[in-house]
Amino acid sequence: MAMAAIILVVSTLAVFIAADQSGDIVSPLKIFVSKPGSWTSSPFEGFISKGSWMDSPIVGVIGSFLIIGALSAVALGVGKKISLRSYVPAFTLVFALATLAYVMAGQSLVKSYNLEYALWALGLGLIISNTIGTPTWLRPSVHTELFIKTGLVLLGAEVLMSRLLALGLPGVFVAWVVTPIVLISTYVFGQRVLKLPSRSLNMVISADMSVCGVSAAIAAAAACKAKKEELSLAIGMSLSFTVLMMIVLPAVIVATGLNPTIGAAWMGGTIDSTGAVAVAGATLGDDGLEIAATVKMIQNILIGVSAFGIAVYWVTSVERDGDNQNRVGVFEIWRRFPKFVIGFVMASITFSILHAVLANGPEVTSAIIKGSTKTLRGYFFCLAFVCIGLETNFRDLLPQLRGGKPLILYLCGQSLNLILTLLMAYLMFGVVFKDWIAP
Amino acid sequence: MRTNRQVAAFMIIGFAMIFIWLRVLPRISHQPRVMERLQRLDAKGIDASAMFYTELPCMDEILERRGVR
Repeated sequence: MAMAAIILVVSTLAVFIAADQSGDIVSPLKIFVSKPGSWTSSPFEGFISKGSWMDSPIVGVIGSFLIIGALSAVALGVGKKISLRSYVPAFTLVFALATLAYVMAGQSLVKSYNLEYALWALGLGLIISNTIGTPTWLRPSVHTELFIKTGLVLLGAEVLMSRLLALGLPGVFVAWVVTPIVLISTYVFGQRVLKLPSRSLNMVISADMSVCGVSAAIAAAAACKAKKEELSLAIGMSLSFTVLMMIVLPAVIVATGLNPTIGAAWMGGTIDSTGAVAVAGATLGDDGLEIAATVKMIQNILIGVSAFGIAVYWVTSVERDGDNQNRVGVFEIWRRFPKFVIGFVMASITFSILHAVLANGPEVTSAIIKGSTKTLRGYFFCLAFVCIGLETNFRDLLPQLRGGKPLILYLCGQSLNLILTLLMAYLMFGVVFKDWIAP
Repeated sequence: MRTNRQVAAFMIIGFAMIFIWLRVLPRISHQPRVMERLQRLDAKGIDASAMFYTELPCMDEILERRGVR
């Protein structure tokens, strides 16, 4: 959490100092923090800019490597617990794999089908660990938990509560009323009916499918201390079905003649990934894109609340069940509570206040987020998925699939999601607030 | 101790990925219909791989149109 706090504070100060000196609200860190860009014919297109070399992503990639490498080294106690000589090559390779995952995800065709970097980062790690084996010298840099929790706290800064009412009450009802109902129902179904042996796998799949895909799965997995294989499985299923729904749902809406506004809200609340929602929404026109993307944005904001709720439930109920039903005291609850959730919520509250209170709040928070924190957050998640892959054996994944229960859970949960979201979208956008939603 | 089989598997997968990403995908991407779709997504500011709304380029414009800060 300290790493994330340092990044947020430095990024914020950088914007304020630059604004003070030049009057422009930009982040001076932007050129030093970048990921590879998209490309079509050659991966080099993603590293080199046609203009000034200083604008080339390669500068930012190297900058990100140095920033994350230095901060991680301090956090891991390099020099005391791990030698610099062992850490540098290990981190260099893990970062190179994360960058390669970005390159793979950045190919235009791959990108257009929402095949996100998480998939490729996981895949690269799995290929290494299940063929030649993860080399021992790489271990000093394999720290999934550190990378995930840092990324999650940085994500908190992007959850701006003032945007909750972007679509008014209809958006809130579709995104914030249906979602918890589906999450809880799917979890209960998984426990009572399917009797999934792993409660954490059940929770991660439920959150992934009902909230907003990969980012929700990461937050839920950290909140309920799920195993890495469980997170991998949930994300693999989610991304697979996302591509399918991105193509099928718009076709269904057009074929059935469903009102485009209701259809767009339906897609926004059900398709797991933000990018896929935008692609699907755009097939219904500009208004469809607007409604679908905004509903998904409102669902994105639910991540913090859901992670907090899951963490509270887990510590007070699930872990208590493992303690022979003894009541767990307040101090023990606090001790077990995943502290990154506090960091996430605090980052969200702080940035929401900055956004709402400052005269140029939206410009300032946008400069901070787009200038550095968003990119670093992405890199931390990418590093985490590479590490998960490097530590996972295929043999560990297979038991999770036993009986096909995770898949059945996902399918049943998503079916409920589709039905309830459509009903709510129809009620809100087709009946109660029918004439309201025009921009 | 790595076996030859493990090393061979790693190299085969590696070469397959290089071939697909450097040859197959660029070739498909340059098909007229595919190119048109990719350009359409770009023109609308849609990043299909966006994981969060802050990664969607068109979101700023959408929020501005809706009068949301």
